[in-house]
Amino acid sequence: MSEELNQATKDLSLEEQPQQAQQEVEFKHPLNSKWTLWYTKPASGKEAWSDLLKPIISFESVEEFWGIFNSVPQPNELPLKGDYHLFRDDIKPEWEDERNTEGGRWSFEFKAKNSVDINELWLRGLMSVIGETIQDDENEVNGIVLNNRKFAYRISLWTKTTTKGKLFQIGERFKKVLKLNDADSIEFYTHKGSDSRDAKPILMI
Amino acid sequence: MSNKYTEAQLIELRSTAYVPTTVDFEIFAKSIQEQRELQNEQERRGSHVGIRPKFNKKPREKKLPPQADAEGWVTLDHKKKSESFSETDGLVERETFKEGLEQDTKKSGQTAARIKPNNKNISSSRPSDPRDITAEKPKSKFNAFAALDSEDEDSDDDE
Repeated sequence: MSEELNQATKDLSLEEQPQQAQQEVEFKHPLNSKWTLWYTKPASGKEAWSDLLKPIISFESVEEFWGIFNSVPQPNELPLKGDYHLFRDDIKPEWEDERNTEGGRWSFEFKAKNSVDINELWLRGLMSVIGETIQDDENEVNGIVLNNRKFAYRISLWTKTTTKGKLFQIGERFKKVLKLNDADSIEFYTHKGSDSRDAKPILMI
Repeated sequence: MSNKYTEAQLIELRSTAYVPTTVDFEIFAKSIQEQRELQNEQERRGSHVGIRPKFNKKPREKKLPPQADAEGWVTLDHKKKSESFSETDGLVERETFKEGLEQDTKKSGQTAARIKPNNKNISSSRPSDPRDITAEKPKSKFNAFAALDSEDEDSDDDE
């Protein structure tokens, strides 16, 4: 299974692949940044984290985004403990990446898995990120993550910093993107404070 | 920030989709489907075999002490214990007894067995076996007349 995933992504090189694609097709709608879609497959044995997390493909245009989105399985088709990550440039979807270390994440869990349209919400999240409408400041948002767990779907928005003024504005927009009510609250956790299991959010809106 | 797209603008451009050829999405989709099937199979087997631990098992109910009724009486629930002496045990004991009896009969040459009951467990003071009468007879007797004679002799001496 892991071999198949490797086979599917063997030709992917984060640095070279988009240039090759641009040589073939001229895209009319370039994005502000290059984005990379990552996938974490569920652990099935003694596999290291690095073996589970793989980049699927990178893209830099609206046309490519739609082509990729139409081709990959939808969130509700993922296995349990399977995750999608969409991150800017070559930022790895890990706390350890130096561009993530000083940041954190807005997060919301959809516990009623059967009654939520997670495919639509994930698409809205992706569009807000690649279209850059989720933020005013340039490159404050590093990426967006979808986790499929037994008890819930979770969508998280990863930020570069923990500056509360910026976070509040991004959080308000994130709530609208996820179609949340006033009664629903999203939480912000810093990556540094998330080491322990009883980590508490520093912000809630 | 030069390239910004609203949600509506992006949806409008959906028809311009271009599928990159650098990745075989069919293989990727197939691997994800296999992962799901594997999980479903594990879930199905797990639920049948019952290997999952039961964390929510109800604790055993504590038995309350017997409660007195309005008149102060307590009804105790004595359950009769099951018989530990089985039918087989009885048969074995009977056969052993029979064999022992036959051997005794052969040794003594008698056709009827003599059985000596144990007096200790019989409530009557009378021995059930007549031979025990002699066995339990006191070995020395007090002779009252002899005793009187000896007293007379003593008194004569005093006078």
